[in-house]
Amino acid sequence: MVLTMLLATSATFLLIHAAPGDPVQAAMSNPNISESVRARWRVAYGLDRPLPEQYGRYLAAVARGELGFSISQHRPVRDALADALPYTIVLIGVALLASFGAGVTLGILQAARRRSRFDRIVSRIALVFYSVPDFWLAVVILLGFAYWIRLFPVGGSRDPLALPSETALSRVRDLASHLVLPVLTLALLTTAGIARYQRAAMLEEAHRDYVRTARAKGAAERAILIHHVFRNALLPLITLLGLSLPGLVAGAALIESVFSWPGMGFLTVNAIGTRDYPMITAIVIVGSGVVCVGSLLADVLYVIADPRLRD
Amino acid sequence: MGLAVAVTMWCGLSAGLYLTSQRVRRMARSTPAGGPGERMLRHLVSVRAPRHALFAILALAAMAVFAPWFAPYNPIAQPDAIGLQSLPPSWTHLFGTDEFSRDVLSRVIFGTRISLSVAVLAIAVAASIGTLYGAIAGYCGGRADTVMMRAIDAALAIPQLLLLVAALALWQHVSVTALVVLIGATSWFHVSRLVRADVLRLRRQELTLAAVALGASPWRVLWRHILPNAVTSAIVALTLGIGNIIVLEAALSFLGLGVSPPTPSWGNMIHEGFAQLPGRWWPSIFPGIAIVVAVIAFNVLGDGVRDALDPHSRADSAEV
Repeated sequence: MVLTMLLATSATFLLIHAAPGDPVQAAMSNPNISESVRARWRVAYGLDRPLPEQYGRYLAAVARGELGFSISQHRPVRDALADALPYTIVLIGVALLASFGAGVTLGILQAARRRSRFDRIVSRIALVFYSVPDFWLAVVILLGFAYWIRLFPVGGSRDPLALPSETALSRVRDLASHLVLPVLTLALLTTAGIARYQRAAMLEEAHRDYVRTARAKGAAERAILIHHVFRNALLPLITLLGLSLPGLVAGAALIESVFSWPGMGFLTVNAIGTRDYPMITAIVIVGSGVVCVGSLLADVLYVIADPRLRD
Repeated sequence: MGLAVAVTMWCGLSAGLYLTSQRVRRMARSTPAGGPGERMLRHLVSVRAPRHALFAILALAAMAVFAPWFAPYNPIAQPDAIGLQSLPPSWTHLFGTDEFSRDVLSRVIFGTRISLSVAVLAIAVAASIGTLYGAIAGYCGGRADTVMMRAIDAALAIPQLLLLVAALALWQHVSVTALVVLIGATSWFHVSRLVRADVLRLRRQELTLAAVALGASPWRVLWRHILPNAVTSAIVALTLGIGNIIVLEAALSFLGLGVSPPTPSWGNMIHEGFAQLPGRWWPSIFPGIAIVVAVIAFNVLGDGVRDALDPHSRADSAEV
């Protein structure tokens, strides 16, 4: 985990310094600014020091949680990210819960009725959603459920016409209605992957000896499926969860940008538009951090789910 | 003129594909087994889903190579920026026209070029780096292996899209070549893991011992004896990876960072069409469908390749 953060930080440092142009030159492109003024700013920002020293300072700053000053928002990047991060975590969290429930259920049903028409149809649909680009699905859903059928708001996180005096309850309801479409998009995409995986895992477990034993002692087919196969097939799924987190964070970013959901992805797109480099690099670092914490949680879950790993 | 050529090309393509598919199906049943590559191909075309996927990919490739003949109009020219602006789909413009009066169908066809070539070239870059890295880690073993694989674990946790966004935003105008190298250089981590696992397994087998005993140099052992046996899982991962990279390139172009206009790529078409919503849906919906078709084809092919190479997974894996 520490290594990941170190790598992410190093990668962004490398990117910043390998990129053409000099930040002072870019910020003060006015030709009337004399070279001596630019040189003074370079000293002020520490850009005149040797690279290893700059690298050391950069690492130390990131370790202290200082991510720089956002050019477009005129406030520390840390504050902007602190505002955005909860939105992203809510989006990913709700979508994960929904897709986990739906994906696992579908996977079990498919495995139970293997090679039936139901199995084939669900597999086909899952394949399509598995292959759809996240941002395009977001566009389609936005078009379908916000413009053509006006069920849900088009974007943002709150109703612009809401009164400042609204109650907490109506605020939550407002937030939830804005959350539906982004969550739906993200959940459809992850459900497809989870169902595919769960089905394969169930079928793999179904051939094990303990299943034959259970069947031989006369256990009901349903009980075998739920108590024996499902419990063991859940383990690879937790691994999948840990592995799919980077993609989930990136997918959430794109979906947020389509629905203007004010999370990290939305911040990213705005930062690209305004060439807000401190913000962009900070997002890479924080995004990796989110993934790390998530994989750590997945590891903990794995130990909880698998008694063999407990002492 | 352009229209007539395009119609002929389309008829030719579908007829050609139909005839080959009949021929291939007969061949798949009759000819005796050949080498491993041929056997894999035969297995692929003997099952319906991967066969269709293979033909879809061949059709896309043909469209990419012969784009000027398949496309009824010029994808970049703006014939009548006012009269032909943003027309809905019709018989003269099957997919409609975009805000600059360009034919969306022609742009989708030309977009195949960028999307497929970026994906295939980037996967080639990823395959080379990943195989080399994994092979070295697996062959050295011990502490070097541990360190190298720890680095891979760490790198896998960084969201690739965010990293690429940062890189492309910092570099500003990026050529397609640089895009290919950047995508390839960030997509090889899991390939190296697979190759390493295979190399590690093969290193202990008799064939390696025999080669070493005969006095072959480490490079020769690795190159001639281990790697040819270790590529199986990597091939599957790479086929499935092409679909991911098509989506990745589209996502970057959608954010305005990948392929820069006016060159049509499926991603930047959706990017341009997004601004036309909700009223004009055709410039952003049709390129998306093209992406979905291409990615499904590569995913099905990848599943098929896996089943062909690994008989264990054939019966019960996530087949579709």
